[in-house]
Amino acid sequence: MVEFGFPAFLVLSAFLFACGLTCLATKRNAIGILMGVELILNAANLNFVAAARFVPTFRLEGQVFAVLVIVLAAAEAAVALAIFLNFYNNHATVNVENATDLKG
Amino acid sequence: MLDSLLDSTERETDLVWLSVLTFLPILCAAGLMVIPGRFKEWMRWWSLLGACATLTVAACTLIDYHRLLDSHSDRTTRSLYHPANRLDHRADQAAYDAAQAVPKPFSSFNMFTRRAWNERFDINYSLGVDGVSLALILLTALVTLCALVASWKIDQQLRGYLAMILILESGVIGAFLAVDLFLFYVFYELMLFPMYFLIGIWGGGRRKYAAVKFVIYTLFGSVCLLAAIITLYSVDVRDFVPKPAGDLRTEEVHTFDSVTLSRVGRAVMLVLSGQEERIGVQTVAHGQLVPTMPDDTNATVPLLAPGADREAAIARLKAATICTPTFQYILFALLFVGFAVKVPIFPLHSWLPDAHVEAPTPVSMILAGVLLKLGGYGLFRFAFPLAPWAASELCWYVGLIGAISIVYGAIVAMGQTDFKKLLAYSSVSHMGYVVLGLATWSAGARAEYWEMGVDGAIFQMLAHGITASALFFVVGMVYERAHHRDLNRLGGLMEPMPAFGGASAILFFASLGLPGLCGFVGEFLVILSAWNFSYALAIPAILTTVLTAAYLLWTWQRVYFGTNPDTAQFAEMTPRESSVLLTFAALAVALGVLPGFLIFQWMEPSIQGWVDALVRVRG
Amino acid sequence: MLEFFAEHPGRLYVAATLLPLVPAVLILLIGTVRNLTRPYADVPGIAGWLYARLNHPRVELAGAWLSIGVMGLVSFIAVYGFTTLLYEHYLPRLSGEPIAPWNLDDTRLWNVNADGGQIDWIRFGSTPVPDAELDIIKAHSIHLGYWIEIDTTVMFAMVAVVGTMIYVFSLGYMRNELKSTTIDETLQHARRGRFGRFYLYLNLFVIAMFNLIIADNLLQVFISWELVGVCSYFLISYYYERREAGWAANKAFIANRIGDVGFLIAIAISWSTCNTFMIGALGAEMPWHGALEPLFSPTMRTLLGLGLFLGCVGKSAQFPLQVWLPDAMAGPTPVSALIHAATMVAAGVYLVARCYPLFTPDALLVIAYTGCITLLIGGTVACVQTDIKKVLAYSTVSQLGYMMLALGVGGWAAGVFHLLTHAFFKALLFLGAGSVIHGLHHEQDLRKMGGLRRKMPVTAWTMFIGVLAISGFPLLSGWYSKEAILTAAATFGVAAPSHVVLAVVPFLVAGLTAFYMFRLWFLTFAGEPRDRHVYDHAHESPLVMTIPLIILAMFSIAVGWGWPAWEPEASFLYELLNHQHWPSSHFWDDPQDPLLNAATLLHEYHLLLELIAGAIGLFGFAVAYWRYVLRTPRFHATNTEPRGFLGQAWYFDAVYDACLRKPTQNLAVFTAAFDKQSSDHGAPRSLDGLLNGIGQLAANTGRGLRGIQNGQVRGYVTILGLTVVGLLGMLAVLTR
Repeated sequence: MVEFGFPAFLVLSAFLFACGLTCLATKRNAIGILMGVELILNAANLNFVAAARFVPTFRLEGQVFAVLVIVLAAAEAAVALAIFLNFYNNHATVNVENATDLKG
Repeated sequence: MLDSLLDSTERETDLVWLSVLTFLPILCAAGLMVIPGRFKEWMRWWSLLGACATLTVAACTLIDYHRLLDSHSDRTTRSLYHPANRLDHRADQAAYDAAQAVPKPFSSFNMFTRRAWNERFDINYSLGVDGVSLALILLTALVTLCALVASWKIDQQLRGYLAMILILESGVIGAFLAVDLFLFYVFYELMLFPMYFLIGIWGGGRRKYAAVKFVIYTLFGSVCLLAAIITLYSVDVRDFVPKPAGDLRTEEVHTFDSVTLSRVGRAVMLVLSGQEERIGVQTVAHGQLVPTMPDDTNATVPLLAPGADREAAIARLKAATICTPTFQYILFALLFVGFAVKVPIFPLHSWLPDAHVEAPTPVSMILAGVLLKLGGYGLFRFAFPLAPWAASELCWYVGLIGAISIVYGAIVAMGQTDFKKLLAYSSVSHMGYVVLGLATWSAGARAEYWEMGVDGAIFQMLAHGITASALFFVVGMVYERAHHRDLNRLGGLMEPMPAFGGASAILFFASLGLPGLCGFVGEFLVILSAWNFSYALAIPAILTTVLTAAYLLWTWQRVYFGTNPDTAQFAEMTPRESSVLLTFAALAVALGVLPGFLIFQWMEPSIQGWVDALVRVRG
Repeated sequence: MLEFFAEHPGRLYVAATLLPLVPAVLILLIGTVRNLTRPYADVPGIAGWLYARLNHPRVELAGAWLSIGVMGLVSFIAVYGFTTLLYEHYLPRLSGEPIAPWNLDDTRLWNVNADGGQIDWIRFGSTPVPDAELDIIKAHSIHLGYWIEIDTTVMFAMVAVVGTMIYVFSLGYMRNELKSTTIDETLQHARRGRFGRFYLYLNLFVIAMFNLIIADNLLQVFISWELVGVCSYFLISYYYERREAGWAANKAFIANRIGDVGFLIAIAISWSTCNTFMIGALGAEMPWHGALEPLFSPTMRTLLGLGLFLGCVGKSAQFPLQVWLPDAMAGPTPVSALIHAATMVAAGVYLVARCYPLFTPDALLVIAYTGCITLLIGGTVACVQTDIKKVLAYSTVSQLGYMMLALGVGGWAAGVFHLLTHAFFKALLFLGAGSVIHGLHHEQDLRKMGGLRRKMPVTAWTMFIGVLAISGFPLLSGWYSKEAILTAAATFGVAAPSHVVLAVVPFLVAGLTAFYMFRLWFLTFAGEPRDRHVYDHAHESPLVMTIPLIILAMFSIAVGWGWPAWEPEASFLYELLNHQHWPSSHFWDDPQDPLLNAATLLHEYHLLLELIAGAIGLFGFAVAYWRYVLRTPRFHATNTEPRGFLGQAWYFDAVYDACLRKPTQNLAVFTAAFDKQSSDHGAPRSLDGLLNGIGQLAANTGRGLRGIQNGQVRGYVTILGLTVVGLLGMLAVLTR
């Protein structure tokens, strides 16, 4: 089995992060934005896990943080989806450009 | 601070006394909060009581100050003129006493107090009295008292209104007393917010515009001031502050203390004008710093703290950034602009007409009578002493700005049809004399002329404080009866209101500088001094006396002379109104007839000391 | 008490100056209290009670009588001071050497420097200076003091006596001010009487005037100078419900202020060069007074003199500032007599006389020419006026011109002498005119008068004495002083032939003087009544008005007398003044004094000069008699309002209006618009708008940047991403 080094994981993570960021920047659909956020979070997660594998002093912390981020992503998705559902109920769309009710 | 009152070594009467003078109005404002809202008359009387008490404390301070001046009299100077009485000497002495290995107890008798407020940033709570600040404090207390009497008719949100006026008074008195630059800045800004609300809530039709404009202009000045203060804080003053014997002065020291910084400024002036050999070290005899006597012809100017290494200090000073012409020019420009906005000078005056026109009468009185004086006071207390080299280089241009303000204000005033606006522009013109008087820096044997000019400038501030507040009150009275201020529709007031006409005649003529009334003394001294300084600046100032007479008499004619069916039934002034107006009229006469006895006697020593200190380093 | 004054006789004059303050303060207090309690007149209580007590003609009359009493006392002091000084110091020396008036160490004078009566008004500096030491090197104090000389005492006595007469006369003239009237019948505008106020202003005026006379320094003169000006302002605008009164008062004050610019410059010069305002000390700095190293440069000397003279031009209504005096006749007639004829307008002449050594020959020449132009303007314009007071006003302008001319050509004593005699007969003429106006119920138009000598004989014949005196009829006071002036002018003309016009014009205008004065008298008193209605209601004035007229007439006759009376140079007063005078050769660099030579030459021909002057005066009288007595009936029909060059007073008013007043007002309006416009939002059309524009710039920038902050996360994320890429790129480039 080929042993990829730490940099490979970092590059992969950066790629995932860039994908997520592009998704955030281009999507108007709220669900799409949510997916972009998930991508970014997972990019971070990948880094944590890779660090836990390759950096000796980070062995435990990396894993703990990865778990924490997963939990956080779940919670965030739950709240965000709840907001979007309500928004859809009111506006019959999930296009974020229409979410201007609270704008000053 | 309170526990220090109980400690016998820390106890200091001056601290209590000056703090009471500063904070008494704010305490009264706090007391207002306790009075239930329906007792409006009680609130008025309570705040009136507070203002009276402040005036009383100020008057007692004057007596105490006279005692202080008298305490050093000896035959070497004219009585009351001993240099040990100067504020900067008292401050230096206090610093010296505190810096001893075993600090001396604080003196209760020097009308100066200094306590650490924030030691991390070297901020001190230091208050001090000298003749100039005391004169202006008395004016503040008096004008505020009169303004409170004048605001008897105000009913809307009375509690807030009275509290704002009292807070304003505290801020102004604090600014006049503060010796520490940071403390001064705090008080200076403390005045801003009550003024904003007073114009913005109780003002006329365009009050919000005027209030915002006032705040923005003043803040512009404050920003310049803040920049200057921070710049000054960056200066290393280790050789200028007293240290316990044996201290090697290896650490940098920074300070906000204006007295110390003014000594730095004078040292820089000596270096920049190539006279660095004249920088000397303060000497001590019997535990007292030795003051420079006025007739002392010794070339050395003692500026460094006792025990400082003179050679090393001069070397350090010359290496510092502060000791460059650019730095000094920028510093002076910042300080000058900061205060000049408040004076105000052309072209930064345009907040003044708006603020005056929209402000209610009592606020206009305070604005014209007191707040403008802070500008002149700041120039006197901070701008000139902190950057003396640049000031002496630029003083002709400063005088030019003053002369332009004099002429411009008068001409624009002549073109007005709104009574209040006219008075606002006349304030620009009259305050121009203050700037001109301060700027007539003549050196050497002609130094007395500068002294006269500064005397005139400060007296002009007092006189303008009286006449301008009184005339704004006159406008307020007319407005209350006629409900407009259009000069072309007024007229014929003399017949229904003869006593009012008589009192306002005194004030009109005091304002146009009639001899025997207060406006003349200041203008005259400034003109004499300006003539000695530069004909080009004196002649516009002299010619403007004609313009001033023209616009004020024209106004007088349009308001009081002739017949007018609209005004024929106006009521003569009430006892409340006459108490304000007659007080001002009596003061205008008294200060005009006996300026020397009433004012200069105790105010002039401070000005003489100020001029003496600056002229000594001019070379 | 008496020792206090005996020790320093000058203190008497200070006390006399301050005495009228007592009635002034009392009247002011009572008036203020009365006005403040008026709203409570019908309310029971102490205020209403006070008002009822104070609002009574008796109270006002008491104030007037108190003022008259005080003035009487002042007159007594003044006459006492004059005679004492005369007997103690002058008479014993009248035959000896002239007294040098500028010798500061001379203890014979009641000089403040000799008796140390100065008060420091403001002190400067910390140097201890012994009070007695006069130190003019360091400017250490501004002081007030007095300086009494013979001309001071004479002037003081004149003001006190004339003042007393006018105070008494006003009791009658101002009597209708005791009650309220209605000024506008249609509007039913009530007008309360202003009797007390009149005496208040008069009292304040005499205080300032006395202070001006005794002052020993220029600043004190200036202070009183402006104070008499402001009293004059309030008295001109006494009938302030009339529109023209307000304008006239403003005009007077502003014209005076223009003069005061010069005065202030002179004061500034004297202070910054000599550190003193003392007239005597300044004189000591002049090269012709023996100052070895004069502090002044010649230009500064001339400038000092011209500045002072500009002040006098304003106050004494000289060309080109003479325009205010005729308008000032809007005030009550006793005021015109006291302020605008006898005393205040003469203050300019007095100041030139008192500061005489401060004027360089160049400055004196300017003074002479100004006086010459002024007397010509006044004399010509007076010939066509139809208002009785306007004739007298222009006559005053002309006579003041005579005095200035005399001073300018070196006739110091002649100028001061004419000032004194003129004060008496011009006060008489004005009071006579007042009596006529009073008798005709405020009719001032000469065209409606005529034949009044039958109705008001006392007024007519006392005025006739005044007319004779001013025209220079022999043995009356005016004759002596006018002869002195004409001689001085002729002397100057002979000594300096290039300035011969200065000698010719006064002779010619002497004829004009006789013409316009007799014209005035004939039109008023001679011939037949031209307006029946006015004539029928005319009546002679009460005793309280005619007695001052008689007393003043006696003064007008006798004040110039000496022995032998037919010699104009034998006049006692003139001799006294001449004795105080220093030799005029101080003003000429040439040791062969041409003035002295001319004087000796002219002395041979002085009878001829008198004859010429007399003939010219007689001719003026004859023309007046022919035109206004022999041809009276045609006057009423042909003469309408004065028009043309003379009627418009040489068009001075029109020119000033077009060249000074209008441009200044336009400039003011323009500058006001430049400063701030009420309607400039957006476009900066004024200074205020420009500054607001800078503020708007910040607001606009903010408004522009607000578009970026649109709340769309996408936009933020894009910017965030791009920024990160940019920063990383920078890092990469920089760390390479």
